[in-house]
Amino acid sequence: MKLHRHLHLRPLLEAVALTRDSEFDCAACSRHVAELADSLKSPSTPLSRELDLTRHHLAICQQCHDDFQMLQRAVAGIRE
Amino acid sequence: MLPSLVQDDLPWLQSLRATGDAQASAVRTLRALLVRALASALRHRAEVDASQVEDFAQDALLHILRRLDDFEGRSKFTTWAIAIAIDTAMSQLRRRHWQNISLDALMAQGAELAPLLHSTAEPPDTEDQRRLLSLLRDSISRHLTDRQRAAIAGQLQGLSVEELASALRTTPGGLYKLIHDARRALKKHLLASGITASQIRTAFAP
Ligand SMILES: [Zn+2]
Repeated sequence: MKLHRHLHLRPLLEAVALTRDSEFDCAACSRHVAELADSLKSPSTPLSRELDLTRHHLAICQQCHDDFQMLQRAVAGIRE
Repeated sequence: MLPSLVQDDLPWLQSLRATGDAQASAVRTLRALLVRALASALRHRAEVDASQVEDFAQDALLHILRRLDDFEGRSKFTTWAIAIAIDTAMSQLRRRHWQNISLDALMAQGAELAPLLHSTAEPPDTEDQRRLLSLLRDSISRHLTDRQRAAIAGQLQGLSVEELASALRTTPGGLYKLIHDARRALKKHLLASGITASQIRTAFAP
């Protein structure tokens, strides 16, 4: 596998800009995604510290972000 | 809509922990819910057919039944169960796409990271962009370790967390810490050069 000749800078810069000293890793994020998915259905409710850290992780980590979008789609899917 | 599939949490847990017909019925209902949920979640993936969705649902069902005691009631039971099902399915799908990258290949990629940022998909147009890119390259070269550069290169290539962690002979948690420490170092040095977090974020934004 060869490194692509065109690297997209934006995801790296976005992640660097959003970096905090204390963050959730993927495992911590996965423990809270279900709660976040339910919480975001009523957006006026303020997020707890854990859910804020979960949402922050989703902004940094593409893989968890993609899985979270699938979770939201799936939860909506069982109600169709 | 199947109203019986979206019931309160207590009946779910009671029924799944019951014995006999009550449990068998709850398991069948949960399995049907997982199939429907996974079919919705995976409908954009052409390589996943209906029989694979059934297999993923079955695997997920076994995980969920083993982990019932982990459910803390912070979300709906169904949302919690579907999250486990997505994790089960995506772990298997990602494993299928593993490229078995060697540590040497990844380290070689890391060594190319800073130079390659010269020829990015977003070539710098303005003086601010050129300065940020130059500082970023300099920070990557001077302040990151070889392993951090390799991890970021792999991440920018779109390697999965599990595949990248395996190539670097660490755990997903270890990989996250490696990249987190790298991001912190880059941010610290960019801020120390007088660039704000907002500028870092928006300099190359469309
Ligand atoms: Zn993650």
